[in-house]
Amino acid sequence: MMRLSPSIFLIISLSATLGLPSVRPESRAWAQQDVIASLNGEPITRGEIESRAATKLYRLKWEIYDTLKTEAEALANERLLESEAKRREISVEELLQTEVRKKAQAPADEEVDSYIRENHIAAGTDGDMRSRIVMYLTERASIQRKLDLLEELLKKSDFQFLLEPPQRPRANVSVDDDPVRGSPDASITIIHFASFSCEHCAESAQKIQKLFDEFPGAIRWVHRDFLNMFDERGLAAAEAAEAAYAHGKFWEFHDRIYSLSGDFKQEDLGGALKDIGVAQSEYGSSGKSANYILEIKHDIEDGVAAGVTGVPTIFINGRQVSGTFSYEKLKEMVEEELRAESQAAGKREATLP
Amino acid sequence: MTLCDMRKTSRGIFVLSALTVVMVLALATAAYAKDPQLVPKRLSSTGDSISAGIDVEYYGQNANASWVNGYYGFWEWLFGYTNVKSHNQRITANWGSSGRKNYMDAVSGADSFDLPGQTAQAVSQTAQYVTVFMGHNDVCQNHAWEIPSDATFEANFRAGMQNLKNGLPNGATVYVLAIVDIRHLYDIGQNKKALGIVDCEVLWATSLIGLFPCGTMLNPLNTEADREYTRSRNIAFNSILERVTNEYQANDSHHHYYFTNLPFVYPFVEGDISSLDCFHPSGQGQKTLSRESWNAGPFKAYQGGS
Repeated sequence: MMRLSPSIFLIISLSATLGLPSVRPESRAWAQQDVIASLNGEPITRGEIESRAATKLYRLKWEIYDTLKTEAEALANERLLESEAKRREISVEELLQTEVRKKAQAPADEEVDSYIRENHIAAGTDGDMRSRIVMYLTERASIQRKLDLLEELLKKSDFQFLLEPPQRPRANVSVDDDPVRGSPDASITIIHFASFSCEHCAESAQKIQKLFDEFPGAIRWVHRDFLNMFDERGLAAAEAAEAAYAHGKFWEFHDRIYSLSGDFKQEDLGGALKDIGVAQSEYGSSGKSANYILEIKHDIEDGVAAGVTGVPTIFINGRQVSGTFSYEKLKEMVEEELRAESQAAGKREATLP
Repeated sequence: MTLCDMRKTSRGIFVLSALTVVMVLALATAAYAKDPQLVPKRLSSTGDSISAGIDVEYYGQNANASWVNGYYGFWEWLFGYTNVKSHNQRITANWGSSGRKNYMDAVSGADSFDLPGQTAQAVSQTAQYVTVFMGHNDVCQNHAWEIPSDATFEANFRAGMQNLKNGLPNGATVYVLAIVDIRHLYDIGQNKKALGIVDCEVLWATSLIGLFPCGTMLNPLNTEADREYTRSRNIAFNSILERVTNEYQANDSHHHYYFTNLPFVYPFVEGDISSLDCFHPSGQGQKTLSRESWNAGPFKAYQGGS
């Protein structure tokens, strides 16, 4: 009979004590609910984590999608060249020599002169310049020829990339108790993470205002602060905005400050408050200021949790987009949301008894 | 501090053993013996805005987030900025803070024409470890014909290397890094737009009026052939960096020269590039650059602070 070593006895007894080999009843149920962790016996589901890390996961999925697409196209190009070379019974190198290098001629002197004239290049400033222009025009012609060859071959073939890009997720971003403009019942919520000192933020605020005007009643607009540690003017302005908010005059302050496109001094803030009827003492009071800073900090924390890394960042019903996007892009997203809302309402009506 | 001084500590014995193995291997392949390699306590970086840490997590210079000179203290922790674990931090982690110097000679906007000046500065700082990460602004010009010729780029690089050869203390290390694949940045910018993070083309459009530093790659009027031409210059300059560095390594017995092509070939992803300008590395990108370059570099055996 084989002798079991003491260490094996130890492992077996420890396993029995800890229940490692046994399958807990809840584990089977959890597997069905896609539980990926547990804390003190309480399940943590994949859905919870995917909602929490939606933006991060979306970016990773996109990297995978993009890598697969890029590499598929590169491989297709290689195969197209190989198959064309095979068809002509030559090597790929010979194919490129015949179709690319021989056909891409060095530019004539007149072409170079014409390029210099058209691009207003100052002659004689650099003795090396002409040779660099010749090199550029020659190389570019060769590269263009290769691109054209690949395009010709691609047109004759049937290449399809079959994967769909990942769907943009909706982040669950809190509006907290922050300033809201528009109806609380509006179907679209736009949350603007921004700093008052940032020029791009002033531009994105203008775009949201335009959406607000173009879709009356459809949008509720929430402002939330987001700043970095060197944004002293942004912090001072955010504090002043909190003071204005405490007096129900946030949006007056907001519009006034953003009309300056980030071009203001810290000293101007007291004046801006005064203009809208808020006493400057409200802003300077240290006790209140501490509360205001906590509010601002809370906004930043919520922003970080939602995946905000810089300003301006906009969430349209949880769909993240940067304020550097064109007004048309933002409008398109709002229209998509309204269409989805209308379709959902249609379905609800259709199922009514 | 040379390797001999390190015998005084037990940690030094371990470090010494490891470095001895590296040196024995190096000696076996070298044509002749080199001076003993100095511990890199005095660090000088030469280069451009990437090494200077521009637009990493906020607009302007983020010196704390430089892959080479970066640091991480109370304020960086408080505001949640990325700890990039720079070469500077790794050196302290491996060899302690005694005698440490951390010089950033890299300057935003610098190109190969500035390298002789920057290396002269590194020499004046008696650097024991000099990083050279230069050439992005040579590839990145407003117009393709403004990219310097190979001969000019090589002459500038050689002038910088000659300064280091003539002036650095014996046993010092020079680490040359290839220029990043700028074309790849263009592709990443497209991804950022597709992801809805930032419309990079809006930012790049300012290259039309010379406000953005890389018209040769990012100007919206460029054709695919223009971008590929710029990439070919990118590759040509990297070949020069590699060839000249190897030449100095072969012919200078007093200093240790290393080259890595890693910044060119590393598959940087969307999150590695700053969303502030769609051009410079983000905090994650600087961290990646530091880790990968350290692990491919002269002191890769020392993993303290990694």
